[in-house]
Amino acid sequence: MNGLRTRLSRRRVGAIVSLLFLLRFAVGCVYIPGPEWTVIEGQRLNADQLAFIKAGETDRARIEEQLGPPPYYWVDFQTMIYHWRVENGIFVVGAPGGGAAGITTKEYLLLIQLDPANRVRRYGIIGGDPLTLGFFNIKSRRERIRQWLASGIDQEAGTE
Amino acid sequence: MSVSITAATPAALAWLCWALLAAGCASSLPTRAEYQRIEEGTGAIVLLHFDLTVDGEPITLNARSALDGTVAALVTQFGEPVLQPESKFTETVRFFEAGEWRDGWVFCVLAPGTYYLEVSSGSGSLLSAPEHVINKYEFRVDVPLRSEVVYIGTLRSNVLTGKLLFGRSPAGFEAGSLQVMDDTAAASTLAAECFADLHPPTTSIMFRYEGGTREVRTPLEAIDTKR
Repeated sequence: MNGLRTRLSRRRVGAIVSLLFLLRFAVGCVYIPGPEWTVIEGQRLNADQLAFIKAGETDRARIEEQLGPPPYYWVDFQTMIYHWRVENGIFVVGAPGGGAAGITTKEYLLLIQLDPANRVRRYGIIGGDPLTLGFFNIKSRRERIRQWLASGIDQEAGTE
Repeated sequence: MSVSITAATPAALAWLCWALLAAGCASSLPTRAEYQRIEEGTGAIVLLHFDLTVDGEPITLNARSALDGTVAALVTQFGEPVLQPESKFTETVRFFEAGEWRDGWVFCVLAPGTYYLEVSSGSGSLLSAPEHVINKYEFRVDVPLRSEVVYIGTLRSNVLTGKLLFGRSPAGFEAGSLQVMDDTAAASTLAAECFADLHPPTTSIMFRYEGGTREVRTPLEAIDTKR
């Protein structure tokens, strides 16, 4: 009987220890979306500011005159790349004994693909992943630009 | 319960990963997968050489050099750290031997194309720092097609230190001291020893990025698209 009690007790202690061990790794995470008011990197561009761009007419010089030189130019695909990043919410992560909180951000890219005569072939604004914690950014800029280039769909300025 | 505010950026995280790797596990020479990329022409070993002094005294760079702020290097494309296809958030600059920057030489494996190399120096916790220091330089790096080993130059500079509560710590590169040298002969000697089975290095000296549009070339993707 004493042996059984000892075994049960050992089992119970084992279960508690296991539970505590598992709780050690239990975490919770909350994401609270917010308005995209604050630009933290680059210069925000909207459809009105891009209204002067006409496919087949506007050339690179005119774009640079209006928007400034692009931060990046993908030579092989004749694509001008502008970008800006906005705050779009906060996240809170909790775990036993600690936690963290911070802002989440979302990046937008304005992509303007030119034709061999350096005139606009097509352009568009693509948004980043809805929840971008910096290090959890699922796709790199390069991947997102590549995806847009491969889509081959002519589009007016808009947000995907 | 402690709460900290963070807003990490991909660049910061990649740098952190690189610093952590630099701290402990020194990398080996290129992996089998990387050698395969080199054979296929989709990757090349990029050699970079640091020739630094600290307060005018020659130093031996080692794994601690990144952590103590002496020098760190990061390869970017489109403003983001270059992520190797096989593993995200990997570092891009590696050592030749356990924890040692073999006489200041480091390498990485990159696909042909244009990249931007950020070289930084300085720690942010100084009580007083000397004037005329520069913390970051950026260079344009071109990795030519059909190259197996590419030497991009030797960075020569003097790092100045500033005061800590106890001792001193790097504050940054002495303004005007940075030079990009061409030491192809040394690169060829190193490549012959470490990469004897590959072609001798091609020299493609990096140059300072002075602002404006960063042009990016990715010739392999351009070829793929034309097919």
